[in-house]
Formats: sequence, structure tokens, C-alpha cells
Amino acid sequence: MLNDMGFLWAVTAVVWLGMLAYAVVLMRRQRRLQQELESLRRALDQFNPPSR
Amino acid sequence: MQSRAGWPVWLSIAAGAVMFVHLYLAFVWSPPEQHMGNLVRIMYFHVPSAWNAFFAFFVTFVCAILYLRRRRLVYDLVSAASAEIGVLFTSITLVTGSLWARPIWNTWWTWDPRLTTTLILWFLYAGYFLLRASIDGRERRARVSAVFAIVAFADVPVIHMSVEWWRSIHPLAVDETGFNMPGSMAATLMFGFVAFMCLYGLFLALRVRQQRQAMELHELREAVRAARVRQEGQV
Repeated sequence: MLNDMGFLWAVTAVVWLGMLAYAVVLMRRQRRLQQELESLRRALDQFNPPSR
Repeated sequence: MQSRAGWPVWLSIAAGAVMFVHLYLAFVWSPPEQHMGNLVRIMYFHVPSAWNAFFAFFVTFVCAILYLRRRRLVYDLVSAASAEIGVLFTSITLVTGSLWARPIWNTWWTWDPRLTTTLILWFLYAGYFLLRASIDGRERRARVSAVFAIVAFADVPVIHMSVEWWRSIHPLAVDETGFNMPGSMAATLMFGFVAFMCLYGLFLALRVRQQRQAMELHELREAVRAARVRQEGQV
């Protein structure tokens, strides 16, 4: 059974871990998007090579 | 290019620093309460997360109206991004509220009007994302989800008024006379709101950037597909 401070620490953990978990999800999404964008740009460059 | 990659890092450091100050104010600077003792400190997390959730859904509501009036997809992007963060804050509000209710009310959950309407709010915006995922076509998805977001926002004033309209055991931290607490507690509560607002701003900026990149990704996919078809036609 949690005592008073136990509930307080649990709340703090929920808030901080919740925010951190969301930040990690955002960072992973960002990395995946960036990788996909770069690979598609490379693919497009192969079809349309830059003219000199 | 370097500065564009750098702003999320600097913004994250600033938001993290503000959150640490909030932690100090909540745990050290503010006094314990006469009846609840240290449990009152839960308020500094629970109430700002609820206020930020309402603010996030208000942004969703305003952007939904702006989308329907001006038909610019950027409003839909901001609307969806803000709703996602609103769901995060509402989830935190519900869990922290439950953790507060257990030692104070001797129960993890009760069907109190404010708790029930907040749970309904969570389900409404979870439904908003299910709706978005089920609709094909950018414009149609934006239009339908804008209408849904406007209707769903009606629950926010109901949550606010629920303690006055129905019999509720939920305490009022702020009423028409102002803060029902000493100045140091009110200041910590307001700082908590600002700290959570910094996180909201950071998350919103990152999420909107991702939504824009997702649109760019979609356009690039179409361009690659078209280029491939063109090339196959030439062969």
C-alpha cells in the first residue's frame, strides 16, 4: 500500500515518464520521416538527374 | 540547415529546465496543506495538465473553425497536432486524479460529474483520431474531423460547469473569488501551468513539423510514382 509520499512520487513519475515517452515517440517518428524523405529524394534524383 | 535542426534541442532543454524549477517549487518551496499534508502537491501536476488539455482542445476548436472558413490545410495540421497533445494531457489528468482520489476519497474512481465528463472528453478525442484514420482524402478528412472537433469541444465548458450544475465532490481550486489557497500555492500552480504550456508549445511545434513532412512525403511518393510511369512509357 502506498503512503502519502508514495502517491506523490507515483504522480510525479506518471507526469515525467508520460512526457518523456511522448518525446521519444516524436523523436522516433521524426527519424523515420527524415529517412523516408531522404530515400525518396534520392530516388527522384535518379529519375531526374540534375542538369549541368 | 544547422539552425533548423537545432531549435528542437534548445527548446527541449529550456522546457526541461522549466519543468525542473516546477519540481522544486512543487516539492520544496510550496507548503504542505493543513488537512491533506503533502498530498496537496499532487495538485501542481494534476490541475496544470487539465488546464493544458483544455487549452490544447481550444486550439483544436479554433483551428477547426478556421479550416472550415478558409480551407487551408495548415489549420487542419495544427488542429490534429493539438488534439493529440490534448489527449496526452487528458490521460495524465485522469491517471493523476485517480492517484489523488485513492488516499483522499478512499477510491481510485468515482462517477463524479467532473470525472465522468473528463473521461467522456478523452473518449471523444480518441474517437477523433479513429475518425481521421478511417477517412481517405486529405480535404474530406480535414472537413469531417473539423466538424467533429467543434462538436467535441462542447464537453470542455460542460466539465468546467459540472461542479455547479450537478452535485460534485470535486474541489474547486479556482472560483469567481480567485484562488482558494495561499499565495505561494497559487504561484506554484500558475508556474506549473506555464511549465506545462512550454511542453505543449514544444510538442506542438514538433508535431506540426512532422505533419508538414508527412505531406511532403506524400507528394514525393506521388512524384516518384509519376517519374517511374514516365520512364516505363519511354522504354
